[in-house]
Amino acid sequence: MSAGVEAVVGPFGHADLEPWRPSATDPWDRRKAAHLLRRAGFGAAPEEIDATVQLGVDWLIDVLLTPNNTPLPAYGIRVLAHGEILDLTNQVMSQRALWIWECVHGLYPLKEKMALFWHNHFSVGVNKGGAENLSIAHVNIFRRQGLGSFRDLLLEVTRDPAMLLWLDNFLNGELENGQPQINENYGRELLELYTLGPGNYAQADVVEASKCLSGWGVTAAYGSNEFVYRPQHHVAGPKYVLGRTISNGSNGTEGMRDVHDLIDTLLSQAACARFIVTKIWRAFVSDDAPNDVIDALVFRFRADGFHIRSLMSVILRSKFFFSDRAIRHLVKTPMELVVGAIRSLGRPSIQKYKLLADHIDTMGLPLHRYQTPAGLAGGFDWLDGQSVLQRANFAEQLTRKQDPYHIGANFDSLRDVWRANLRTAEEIVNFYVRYLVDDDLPSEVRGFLLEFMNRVDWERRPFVFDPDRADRKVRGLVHILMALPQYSIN
Amino acid sequence: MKTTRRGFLASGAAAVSSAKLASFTPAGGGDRVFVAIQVEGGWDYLNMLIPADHWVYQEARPTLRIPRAATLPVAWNWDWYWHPSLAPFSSLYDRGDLAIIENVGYPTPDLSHFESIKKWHAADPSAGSFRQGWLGRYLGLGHGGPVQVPAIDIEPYASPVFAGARVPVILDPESLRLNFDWSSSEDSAVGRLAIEVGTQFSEMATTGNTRIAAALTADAHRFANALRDAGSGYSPRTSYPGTALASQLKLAARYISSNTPIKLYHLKTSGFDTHSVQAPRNDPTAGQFATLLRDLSLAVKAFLDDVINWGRGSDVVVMLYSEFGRRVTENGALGTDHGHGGVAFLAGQPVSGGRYGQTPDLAGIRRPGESYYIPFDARSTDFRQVYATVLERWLQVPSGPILGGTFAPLNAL
Repeated sequence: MSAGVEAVVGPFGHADLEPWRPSATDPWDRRKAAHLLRRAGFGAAPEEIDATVQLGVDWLIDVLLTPNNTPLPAYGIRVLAHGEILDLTNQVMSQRALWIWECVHGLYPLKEKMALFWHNHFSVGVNKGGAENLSIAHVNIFRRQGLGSFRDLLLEVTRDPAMLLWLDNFLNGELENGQPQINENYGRELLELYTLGPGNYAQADVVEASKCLSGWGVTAAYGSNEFVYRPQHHVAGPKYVLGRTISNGSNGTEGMRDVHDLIDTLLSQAACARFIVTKIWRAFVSDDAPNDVIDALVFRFRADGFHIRSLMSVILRSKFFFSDRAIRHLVKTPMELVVGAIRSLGRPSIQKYKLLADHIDTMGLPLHRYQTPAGLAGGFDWLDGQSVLQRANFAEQLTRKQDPYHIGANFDSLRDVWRANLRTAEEIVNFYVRYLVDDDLPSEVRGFLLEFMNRVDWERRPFVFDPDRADRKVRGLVHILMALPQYSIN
Repeated sequence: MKTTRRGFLASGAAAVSSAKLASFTPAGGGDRVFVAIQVEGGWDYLNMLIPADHWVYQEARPTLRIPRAATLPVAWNWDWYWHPSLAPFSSLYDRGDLAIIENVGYPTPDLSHFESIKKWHAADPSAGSFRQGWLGRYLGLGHGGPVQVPAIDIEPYASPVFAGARVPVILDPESLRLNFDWSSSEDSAVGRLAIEVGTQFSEMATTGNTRIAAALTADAHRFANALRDAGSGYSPRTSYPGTALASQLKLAARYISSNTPIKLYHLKTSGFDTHSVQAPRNDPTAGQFATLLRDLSLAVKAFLDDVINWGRGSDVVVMLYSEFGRRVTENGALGTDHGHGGVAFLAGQPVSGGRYGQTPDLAGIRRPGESYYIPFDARSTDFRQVYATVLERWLQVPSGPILGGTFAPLNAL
């Protein structure tokens, strides 16, 4: 690694990471604006994309990178914008609905995207032992700290009751004959899954890290869950982690320093920054992660004190990010697909958000209820059989006309037709092919869609504009387009 | 109507063979079926088969040890006993339909869930960068036969055990329908055609990741067409518990009972990572782990009884495996941390019931004052021997090309 560090030159360390600047041949246009809005957010309605082209790339990235600090409320009645009311119970379904609502309506989608990234990274299932009331506080850490310092994030997650319960650290240091006994569950995953990656530590490091973490627990497991440090449950004496000695006193809270030193030890490992940077790159940019580009980002991330906002700023402004190596190079997560569709096509009332949560769940993303601490790999795994049909059937639900209890009741099929003055079959097809799949459609399929417009059932009856026929055909067209593989590409 | 329909097809998609859309006809029965159940989390071998009277067990498990009086005997001449919640396994064993493979593992065991299961899935103890799963290699060599769906994966996410082959992931056959709610059924048929044919065109016409997405989507439609209605007349011929694993097994039984030519099934059940409160302090036979074992063994026995009642008992072999066993010593939180060495089971009428492999020598592996494991040593059985048993003796294919070496099959099949 040190050789790589010395080789890095220039402020960005790699030509592909230098800020992209629009030019006559490579302008800031609808395609790039839509790309940025999808990756750093969940996409946008056609007119919002067009407005973004006018406002410019730097303005948009600046706004995305500086979100507000408002947490999601955990309990009570919340009056939302538009005067709708959400009754929050402490159950996962309503907490999922609340977060999805925020992703759809919030002004700072990158904040939610980062929070979703970290939620998948730390991958907690709050259903273990009935800790469901902790899930909002848990994701609020990611929403508050997701663009902050990775060091602070690690510390907050380590003392978060949802995590302490999920990976049993609340039982790390239980006494047996007066001696604290270590529980390795969190210690192991902290090294393997959250900081270093497999192969970058030994079993002895897991044991020693777990000693550092002993005594970090909750006040009353599954009751009033507040973080507490219990000195008598902390293993005293020096710990030897990854070649470093961690040695603090054990009076009062002195032993808590062990965890701070442990986190610094983990961050000091070159493997840590590489692990995190690579994962962020694959989630936000491309599955193509060239070593020299990652090297340069790793160098910068470490030099910047593990500041996630600076890392994201470099990534989102980079030439690589706005190149064809990144644009339309990822697969939409269920959250990106569902929230993106809503943002593009029309927003249902809050009562429907639990239905959206169900769709996201059946597409394979169990918000708040991960089954293992490893998160989900995503990518093409999202398209593994049944879930493809779920995506198509979500499109059906969204465009369905006759069901007031379903999300489609809020799909205004003529909104874009009136706004963009679409009157012919070609205009309608071209509009939705452009805004839903970036014109990424073989000409034969586009022709097929035109045929759909120009038929009533199997009969050829050329499209002549009238609101009834346009309503029916737009619903069918959007349904078909969203069920095609191109719509799953991000 | 036919002509206009043809006109519609011709206008956009003449090149796509409509044969690709044809749903398949289930072939005749009699084929051998292999069902692998992954038990995720690392199961506690020593509290499933219990050396109840052994002083090392008693010493290592001061709170979690299960007294012999609470256990069920396995065989008259063996001093290891069934956990009481494994009564369904005990009854399978007693009727000769269950093989216990003792002390299973692999050289240089890994304590990470994810690294360890990777090795199991790859059938490769050195699996660094994972390329193919062992069942994926089986399919890649053409052993699945000339059928559209030789294998299915009944779990929420694709299992790496099939990596290298394209295997559909299904939990609920109802969700394999493409829904339409347009005002005429004909328009819905047009929509279905537009989606399926549009997807196939995209697969042929585009490049890069869009093409991969199109290929996966096209496969998903083909799989859905093949599997949606197969066995739709099935209803269980025994009573299953109301658990997630039981639902997954019922889906397998549905396809097996209808002679759908699927050779391989992979299922996963979770929750065995019992770092804490495996059992309540006052009753080591109750609590979390007892429930897990009861749910697991009840579901497996119900499944085997079901396929027997459907007349396919002699065609079905089940394998149960987990990424590792847990630590010999308990951890002070009424739980156990990750260990080495575990157990595997083969079950079904074709199995020669009994014990295979060698029992761990608890006294010999004891490390006083340390948290210790069952090591991989001369007494261990390499997990690839279990795979070789399935491949050679049950699926009747050479195991060498799949396992990358020669491993002696066990006589359990």
